[in-house]
Amino acid sequence: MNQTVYSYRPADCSTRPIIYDQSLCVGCNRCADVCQCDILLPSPVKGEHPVVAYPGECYYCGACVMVCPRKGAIRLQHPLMNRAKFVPVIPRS
Amino acid sequence: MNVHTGKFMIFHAKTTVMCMSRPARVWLFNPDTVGLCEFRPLQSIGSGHAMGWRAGVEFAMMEKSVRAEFSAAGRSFPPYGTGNNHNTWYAATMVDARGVEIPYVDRDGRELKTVSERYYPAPGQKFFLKGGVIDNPKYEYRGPETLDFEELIRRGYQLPFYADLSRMPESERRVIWGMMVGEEAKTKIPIYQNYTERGFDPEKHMLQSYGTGWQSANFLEQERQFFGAPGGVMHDWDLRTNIPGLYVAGDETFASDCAGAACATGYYAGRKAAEAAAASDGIPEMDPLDAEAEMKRLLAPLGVKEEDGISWKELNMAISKAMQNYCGGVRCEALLLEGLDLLGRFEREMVPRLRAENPHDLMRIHEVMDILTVSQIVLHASLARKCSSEPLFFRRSDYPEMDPPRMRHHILLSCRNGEIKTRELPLDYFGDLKTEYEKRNAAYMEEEAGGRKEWQ
Repeated sequence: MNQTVYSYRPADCSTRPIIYDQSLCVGCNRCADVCQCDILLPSPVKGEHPVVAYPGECYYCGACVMVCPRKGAIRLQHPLMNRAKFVPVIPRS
Repeated sequence: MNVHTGKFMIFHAKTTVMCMSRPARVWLFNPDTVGLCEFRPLQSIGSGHAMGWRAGVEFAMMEKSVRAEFSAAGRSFPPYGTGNNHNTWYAATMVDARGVEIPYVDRDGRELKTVSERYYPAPGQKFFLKGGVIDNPKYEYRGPETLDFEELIRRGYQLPFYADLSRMPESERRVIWGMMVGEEAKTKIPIYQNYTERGFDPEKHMLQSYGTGWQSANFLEQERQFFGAPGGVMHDWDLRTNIPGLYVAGDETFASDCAGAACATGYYAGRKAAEAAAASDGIPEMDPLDAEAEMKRLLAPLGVKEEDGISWKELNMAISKAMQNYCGGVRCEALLLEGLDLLGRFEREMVPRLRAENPHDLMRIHEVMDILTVSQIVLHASLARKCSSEPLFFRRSDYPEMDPPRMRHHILLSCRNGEIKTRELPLDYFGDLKTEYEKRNAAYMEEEAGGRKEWQ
């Protein structure tokens, strides 16, 4: 039986939307399943966090963070250019 | 097609509801941060429009687009993540760079003194409309709003502006920052949690606005989007298209209006499609040759050699540039024909060279092929409307007359056997809303009324 072999090449991207903490991740791959933009690939090493295969295609929805069973194992980070500024309030004069 | 495995699947149905959102990435594209090109997620790019076009479905208002406003592309910020007083953030207290509060006024320009008044209609007004596509409501529906930007500058208010929730009653502050920002659109994570982790406290901080006024960025005239009730699939009172058995719902309908309309039309189209399916005899036969041809079309990019291939990103960039050049803020016949010629060449010469190494790439390739089809629909629709139009945000330099009586109708557009067909339909084709709804939904209304009595 013929088996189709697919390949994947890591792509350069200026942003790093998803940051894993391997000490907390249990490698359950729920984040890879839930990603609506399909940017995560399950790790080839069992128990390790998924590969952020297509970081430029992240929609920054945070579904991966929400579905993660271990708090803090995934962090969503907006690109530097997208961090809106906030300042202390100015008291009413 | 399963986008993880590439497995080809065939579904049989008596009736089908298409609900695949609205087109995107037609004018806006950034190959580095593709996921931030538009307001909606990456996969919402008008595939339903393209499928419908290939099947001969009729479209309305596809010539309409607006200057981009709420995109997350490049210069913009995360949706709901800047200081503003619209939509999710209505009716936030706004201040200028000095901390001077910006007044809210009612539709007659009367200054409102309390936060509470911002949520009520003007004296004698039954209700007002806000949010979604309601950027410039008619006087009858206009609600409280902060002073016009030009007037603010004339009075000496200074940029940048900020949203200052600390000046609002705690209950209103918690509604905006907690319920609205926390629950709308995406998840709690990108704004509510992320900003909280960065140290934002709505009692202690104010959040900056960007651009002039309240949008989160400024775009150029040729950077356009399908916003403000854009074009889409034409339908009858049952949300049925011109193709037997095919229904439509949500942002795929013409003049759609985001989540509320999607929920309402989804429920309605599902009910009507189910009724029609229950009344029909059998499932139509499928032609295996059609399935074979479609499978060949879908999987073709997996067989393109590396040395001959081009990427989906390269084609998306070229389409977006072509649309900005030939179908931007101002259009005319010669430009539109140039655009069609260029996109036709892309279709003939570049589409066969699109190359995928895996099902993920294949999915993206088909999205861009659909973007190409949608762009062609927009060009054809723009050619068909031989006037300019204010409600359609549509300008033709060769037909500058704005909404002349001869053109006050829908232009329905479809493609049959490769030929573009148009026909006209009166703007009020749907008749009186209450009368026509009740005529077509009497049994449902009776059933619902019965259900309510039982529940009571």
